[in-house]
Amino acid sequence: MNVTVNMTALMPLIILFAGISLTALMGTMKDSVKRLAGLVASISVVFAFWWVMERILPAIGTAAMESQSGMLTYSYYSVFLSGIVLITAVAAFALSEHYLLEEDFSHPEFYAILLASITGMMVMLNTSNFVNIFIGLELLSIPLYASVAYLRYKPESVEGGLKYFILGAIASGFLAYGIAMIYGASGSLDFITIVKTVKTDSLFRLGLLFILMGLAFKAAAVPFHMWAPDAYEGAATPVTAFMSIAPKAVAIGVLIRILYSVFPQMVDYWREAVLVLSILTVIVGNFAAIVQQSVKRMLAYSSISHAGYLLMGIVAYSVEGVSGILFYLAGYMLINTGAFGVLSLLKIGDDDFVSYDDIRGIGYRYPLLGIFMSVFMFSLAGIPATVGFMGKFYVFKALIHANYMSLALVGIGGSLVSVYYYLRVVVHMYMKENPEERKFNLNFLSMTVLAICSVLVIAAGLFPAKIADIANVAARFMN
Amino acid sequence: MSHAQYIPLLIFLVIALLFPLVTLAIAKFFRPAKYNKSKLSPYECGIEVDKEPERNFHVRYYVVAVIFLIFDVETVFLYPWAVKYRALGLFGFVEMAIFLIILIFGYVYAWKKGALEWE
Amino acid sequence: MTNYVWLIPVLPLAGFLVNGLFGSRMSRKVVSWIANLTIFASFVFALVLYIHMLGTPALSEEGIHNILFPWLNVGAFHINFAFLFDRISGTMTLMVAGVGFLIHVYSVGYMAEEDGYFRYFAYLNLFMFAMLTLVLADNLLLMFVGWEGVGLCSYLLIGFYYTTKVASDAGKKAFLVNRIGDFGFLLGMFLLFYLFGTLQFPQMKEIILSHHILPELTTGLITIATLLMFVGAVGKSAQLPLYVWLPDAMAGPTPVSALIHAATMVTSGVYMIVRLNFLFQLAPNTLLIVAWVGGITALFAATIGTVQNDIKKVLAYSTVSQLGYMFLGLGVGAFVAGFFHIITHAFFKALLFLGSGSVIHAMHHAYHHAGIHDKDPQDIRNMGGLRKYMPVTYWTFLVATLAISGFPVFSGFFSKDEILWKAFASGHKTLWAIGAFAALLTSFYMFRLIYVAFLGNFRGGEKEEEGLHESPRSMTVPLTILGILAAVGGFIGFPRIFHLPNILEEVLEPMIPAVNPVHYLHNVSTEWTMMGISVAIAILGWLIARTFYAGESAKLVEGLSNTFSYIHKLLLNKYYVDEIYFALVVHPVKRIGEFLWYYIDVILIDGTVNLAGMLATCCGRVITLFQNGSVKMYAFSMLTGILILFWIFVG
Repeated sequence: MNVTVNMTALMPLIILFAGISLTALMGTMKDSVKRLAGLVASISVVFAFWWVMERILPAIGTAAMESQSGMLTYSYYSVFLSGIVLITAVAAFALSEHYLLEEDFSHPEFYAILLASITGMMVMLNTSNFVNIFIGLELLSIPLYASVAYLRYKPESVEGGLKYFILGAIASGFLAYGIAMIYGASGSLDFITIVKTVKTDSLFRLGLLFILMGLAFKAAAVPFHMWAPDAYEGAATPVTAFMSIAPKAVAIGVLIRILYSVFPQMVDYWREAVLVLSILTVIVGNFAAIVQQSVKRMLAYSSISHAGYLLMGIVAYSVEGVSGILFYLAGYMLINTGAFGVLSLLKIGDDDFVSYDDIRGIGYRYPLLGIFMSVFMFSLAGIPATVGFMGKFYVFKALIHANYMSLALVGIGGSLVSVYYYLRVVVHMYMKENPEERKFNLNFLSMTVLAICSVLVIAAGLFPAKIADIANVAARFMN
Repeated sequence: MSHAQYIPLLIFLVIALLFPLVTLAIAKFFRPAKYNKSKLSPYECGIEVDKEPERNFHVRYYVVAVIFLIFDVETVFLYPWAVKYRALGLFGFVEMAIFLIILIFGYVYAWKKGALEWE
Repeated sequence: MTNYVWLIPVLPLAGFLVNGLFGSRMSRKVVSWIANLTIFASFVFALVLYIHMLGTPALSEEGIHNILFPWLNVGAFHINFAFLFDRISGTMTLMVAGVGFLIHVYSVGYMAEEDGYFRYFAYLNLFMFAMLTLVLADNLLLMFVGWEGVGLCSYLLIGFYYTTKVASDAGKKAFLVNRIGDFGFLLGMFLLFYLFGTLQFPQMKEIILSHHILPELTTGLITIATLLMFVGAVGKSAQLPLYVWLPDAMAGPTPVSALIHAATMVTSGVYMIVRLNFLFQLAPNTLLIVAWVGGITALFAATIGTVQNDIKKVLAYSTVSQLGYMFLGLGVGAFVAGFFHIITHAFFKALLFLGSGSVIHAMHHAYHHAGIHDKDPQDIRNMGGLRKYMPVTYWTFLVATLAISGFPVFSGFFSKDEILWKAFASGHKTLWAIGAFAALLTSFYMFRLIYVAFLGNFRGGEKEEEGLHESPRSMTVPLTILGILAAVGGFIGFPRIFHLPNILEEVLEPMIPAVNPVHYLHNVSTEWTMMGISVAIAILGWLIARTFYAGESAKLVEGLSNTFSYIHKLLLNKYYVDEIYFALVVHPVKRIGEFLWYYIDVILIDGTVNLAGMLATCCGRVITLFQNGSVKMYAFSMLTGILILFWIFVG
């Protein structure tokens, strides 16, 4: 056995694990300590982020940083996605603080659970071995099921969590099955070894099929999306914000990694498969979003449709496409954190007021909140001068360059449909009267998060070059 | 890869399948078959059952079961490790120590939360 | 220091952010301090930078180029977010920030009792940010951002009193009319990008100077491009035929009219052409059109100005007319003269508007004092004799009147005379005649204002008279400063025949080289003669106004207007342009619109849209049918997915 352990590479996971232990232990202590759990969790995530950016990033060149023979691998690509995950996590923690206090159900275990999920994401992103892909996926998923069902006294929360769990277990099973087949066919679990042995025989094809399916489930791609609306709607809104971004970024990111660098010889097969999934996802996500009565559920479907645009980017099979997807994810992180963040404030006690009827007149009563929400909705709809537009622009441009004109047209058509239901939110906020007066508590911390998000949405929409450059570098150094 | 190495596995599988079937078949063959009412009643203890047995177990059973399961799995991991202890050396020792610490941490958490107390 | 050019526009932006976000919670004092200090800091910094630039030989040629970051990189399209502080933009910046600051100070007094105080100052700061961005932009795209930005602020401020229908209608009108101009700007910009492959001013200029583009091949295209840019300028700078929005824009608060609709924003069309002078000089046909549009607008607006009774309307038409002069100057190739007139006009027109604001403020107070609510404080027929009550306002207003009418020594004299002389000297005699006649009218309507509003006796009740008083210091101090500037501001550009240094021409000479295609007539005695004629015209205008309006000669006016009642009515109704536009454009468009609305829209489009909407909703409902909450169905859906994948991968 010749294993080299690189402590620098292990450190982020150790930091996050320390965070899990601490927050969980805080659950056994007295109330004054318990209150600090969110802070401790955020600090550990920020510390991990700092470590990744300051200690690991400078050590990466064109070659990735490795530990334990590729069990852990950091590349520009994986660091970019890790950054997205960690930033989303901090934002979600900040939003949870107010949400859970208002709900009067704040326990340190909540943060421990989410931290565990984040650790899973880090494992899954920064590896080039299928064992860690699977372990990471499980570590990502199981806490996520629990966090969906966290509001255990609410039937819809438990229902969403249970459905997510049952279907997720099936998907995990398929993924493990797929990995086993690849192992059977190639005799290895390591990406670099596998890529040398890949043929297009049926065992490889079946293996890739099941892996694709398992990751498509996590990304909520149609027809593996059915769990998403129920889980998103049932979960506490900050959790929804988190799980509409981070697991999606991880699933799409890992999918790209596996498809592009492990199975490039099978491009003809997976390209067609992803193409079909992406079209289905865009169509179903957008059309189903139209008929929703709840903004939260609408956003759940909208995030399905956004997974569709991301999958379209995969079809392009070019550096341009990947950098477009990475840019899209970065922008999507800002927008969705903001959009769900606004919803997380519309709460009195343990009642959420997130239907279209409930948000009538919000724009007048809470002008700042109205402006934020409008910014996020415009951006989701892909209206120019916002980051949402630039993301779609880059992805569709890559598609057109890859001669997938018609697919780009489907995407554009989908986003045209989406304008209707996003603007419906704005219309309800500004053009309808609400007979009921509700006094929402606009928590300062949450409002700060929203302000940062909306400013960045506009700023990155007007000056996208910087992020686009970084995404471009990340896209070029995937291994 | 040669398939010959899987033959013991196949034999094992066949035996595992046959064992309960054969046992049941033998029992069926040898046992006396004289039924009466009390013999067919639940628990065969003579006391009349006035309602269906409760389907729901107390939630504590699950907690204890889960804790048991964790330490059961721990043992499963410990066996092969112990067998290869010398070959793994210090690295193996540290790895296992970390593994145990994680589990012990869980144990402490469960303990502190009162999961081990029945009432 | 040269890396901080961006501070000039960003400081007011900071003011906007602070006031916009927290203004509602701060006292009026804090709000006004923040607003005023930020713009003052911008001005001071611009001044320091300007002196530094002129004093450093390396910078004074090229200007200070402050590249902040790459902005857009799409294919061959590279644009930096960059500012260019050179001789042209530096001079303009000083004017904009300086006058802007004075108007900020003035607003403190003027808006003291209005609602939405912080909103007003936030918008004003935002406007300064957009205007300075426009001025300092190093490329057309950033300029366009500023261009739209000032437009936006202008609509916001026109509609400041959004509760009145007039104000919001005026905002809408300005918005719609400007769209036509912006469309031209955009098309022109695209065409220029097609021609040059860049939108940055220095690079475009370099390409022209190094003759990368063969003139005989591109003259046609350059003419089209410059014409399109000029359409943009016509919209923004309120020239015929797109001037209609400016008089209506007077519905906004008066300091806003002074800042946006007189001194700065409306001159941005002129500024843009000066900025692109190297392009326009390649297109003599465009220049000819510019000159004629400018000349005719100058005369046309001046005629309307002679009969208006609303003090701000008179000034609005006067602004349109003066902008016409600027275009006339640019059109005959006298870019420096046009630019000169931007600056002097900023001084005296801002002063006139602020003076009128002071008057309106006083009249408003008087009516308030007397408890009258139905009289119009802007109607000059209700005024009279105000000189007695508001001396500072009167004297400064008089200085501005002398300046705009072109009385010697005052600023307007130098700039207007230079434009007229250049028009004459370049052989455009008809244009000169038009300009000269417009100058006569200008002098007439301005002195008419003086006589009717400030001299004679007050035409209101005693109770109102008691309420009249001079405006507060925060208003009179800016008036005085602007008064001094309006009086001596012309000294930066003495005509050559005075044998005094022409500072402005020396400063701008490297940027606007005298390689004009136009060859001017150089004849000293003719120039003196023409100047004499200009002065005579100004005096004549004054005398006519005096005959008609001084003392008890009101009957004469009445008689005249009865005799020439058709003309009077025509002028009073502004040549019925609004009505003509309504009949020719709005009404037919409306009729066509109604037709289309019914047959195309209601039946076809609405039908289609509704059908599409219904279909979409139906699709949505069908899709959500599967979302029935049953995990079995969900798992079944996953199975379908696997089968699809299986079919693709294996089948």
